[in-house]
Amino acid sequence: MIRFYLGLWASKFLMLIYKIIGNEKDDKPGMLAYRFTNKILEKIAKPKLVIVITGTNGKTTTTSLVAQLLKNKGLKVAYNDWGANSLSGYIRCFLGAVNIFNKSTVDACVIEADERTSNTTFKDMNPDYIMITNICRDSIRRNAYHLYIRSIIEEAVNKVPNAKLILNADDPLSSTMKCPNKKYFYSIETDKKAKHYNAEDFGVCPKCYHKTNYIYQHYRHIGKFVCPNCEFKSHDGDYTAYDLDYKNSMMKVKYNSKDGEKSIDLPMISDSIFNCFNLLSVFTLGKALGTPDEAVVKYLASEKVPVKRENREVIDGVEVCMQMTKGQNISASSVVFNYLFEQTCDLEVVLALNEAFCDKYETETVTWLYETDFEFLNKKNIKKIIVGGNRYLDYKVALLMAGIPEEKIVCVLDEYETANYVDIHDIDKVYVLYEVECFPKGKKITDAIKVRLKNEGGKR
Amino acid sequence: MTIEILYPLLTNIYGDLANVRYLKECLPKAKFIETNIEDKPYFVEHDVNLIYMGSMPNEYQEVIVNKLSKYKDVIKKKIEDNLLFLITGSALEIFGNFIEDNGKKIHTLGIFDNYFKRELFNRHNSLFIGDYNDIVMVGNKSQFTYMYGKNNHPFIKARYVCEGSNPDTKDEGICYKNFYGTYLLGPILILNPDFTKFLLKKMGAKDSLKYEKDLYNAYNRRVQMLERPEQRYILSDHG
Repeated sequence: MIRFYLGLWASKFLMLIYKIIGNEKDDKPGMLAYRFTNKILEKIAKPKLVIVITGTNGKTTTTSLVAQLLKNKGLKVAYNDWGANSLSGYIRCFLGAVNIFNKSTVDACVIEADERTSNTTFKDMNPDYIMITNICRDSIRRNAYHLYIRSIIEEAVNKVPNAKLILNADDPLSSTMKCPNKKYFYSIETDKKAKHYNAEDFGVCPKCYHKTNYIYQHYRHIGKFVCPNCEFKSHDGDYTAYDLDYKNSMMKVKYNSKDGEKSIDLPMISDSIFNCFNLLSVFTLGKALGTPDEAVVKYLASEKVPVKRENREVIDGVEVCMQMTKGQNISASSVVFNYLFEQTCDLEVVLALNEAFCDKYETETVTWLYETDFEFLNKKNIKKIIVGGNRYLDYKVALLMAGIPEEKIVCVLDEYETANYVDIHDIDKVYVLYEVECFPKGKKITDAIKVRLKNEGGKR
Repeated sequence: MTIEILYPLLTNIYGDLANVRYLKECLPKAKFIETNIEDKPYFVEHDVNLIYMGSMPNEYQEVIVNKLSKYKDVIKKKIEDNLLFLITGSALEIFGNFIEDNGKKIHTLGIFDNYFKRELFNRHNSLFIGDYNDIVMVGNKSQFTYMYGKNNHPFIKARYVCEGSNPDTKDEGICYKNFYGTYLLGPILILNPDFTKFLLKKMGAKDSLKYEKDLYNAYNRRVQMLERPEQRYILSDHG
């Protein structure tokens, strides 16, 4: 216990210094406390409510929405909003939520948590709720493959059987995990079937290994399945969205209350299906916490996707859209390409998806290029695909393999040159897709296109 | 020409199936048989020109071993009869004697006298360059296991600090008669145009490649990159 308090006080002192020098959100105090005792996360006092959000995609947006929901409810909330989803980040977050006597000073902690290390960290955070957004194919180097991550999360939630789970019923990988926890399911009804994807995350039934059938499919494996061989099937949603109205940014959500089936209108935060899932997960959490419908809707109505994830500006008739897209993450990239496929206006796409680290050592693993669905970009109204970065020759092959005509492909070594190849006079929109850790690079390319639009004018 | 892909719904990780997509582009007239877990493998009763099996999740290895073990003798005979096999990534583990995982022994087909040791929390990620005769082979590795036991028929000789089938050898994979098995994973036929031409010739096909110029552009740049003295080969989670 002495080591614990020494660690707590030392890290509190370091936090004070960081605060003075204006670097408040740094993980180093968390690291320092861990050096005093590796039991720090377990021993640090927890507030009345701890919510952990994990999964492959959608963690950051969902965490931000959950924190805002709780703040709007009037709770004092601590959360690792600087993207510190690592052990030292969790410790730093909890350290900021206790005083020097290890007494909690907040009402709730909301933690964006790394899925790959969940089996070693969740137990010490003692969560009341665990939200699993989805489990999908991700970076080969980091996450190997989706079933490996599923097994890790399954182990993690089994270690905290009292934590309640908020699960996406339309994700067969996370929603069919075996665990004793109480579960709240959400889903979105549709009549869609996925158009194409190269790599099936849920190709076979986990019970009998026969090919699964989908009743509906939003994208990739996100949908409702039934096995024709053994009849194993998806869970139904406790909270089910339907009638998604993108034009008016509104969706309906139905659920069973003690007064029978209820239906409410929920305003969307973005026109993408993956953000509808994120929003619905937060609505489900709100209901699980006993928040009245009107209050949840009111709290969420003003929320938007963080600017660093997507932002748009129209200049002289051309919309310049900057969209964070996780390179190496097959599912995330494919979903963004699917979203572009659904656009009907004339557009061009700039891909700046090289990893930051790869710039220096050229170590990027290229296998993901051949699992990702570049096929979605093979559409008449997608006029050109412009790729920059030192894997440009690999992209060229991957795009050709996806059936994209060679004349629509521009691949250049220098990522910053991509802005010069956008035909700003012939399109309605340009999307700059940038790697998650390369926001400044994406912004620089986007700004260069905006400068061209301002100087040369837009659509003719 | 007939090519059989074994269990593509289960062996579909790391982009290995891009090899099949690419072969379909190079051989538009060939017949591709995709065998699912409920099917009897096509090669048991028919002649095929190539059998391909790619990387698979650990969770599916036992399922596939159970399915294939009854055809073990047929597979052995096909290999002895010079049938062409291309086996990539963790599919290679199926052909050894067993996989050792945390004290547990998973018995596999026993076609080759090797065994594999799995460490779930000690994964190996790397870039690779090596030589198969006069062909320079490049690619990626990402594996939970290493192969041990005497390897009388190594496939590729790893260069520089690149690892072979385990950290103590430069011998990578198994090449016996026309059986080519390697830990290299993903789209190895797209990344290695010289090897793909070699394979197509073995199959009796013309050795012209689809997107040949672009494949060679990417390949030549990769070889150049991997031959640099400052190149990093062993990769962490992030790079």
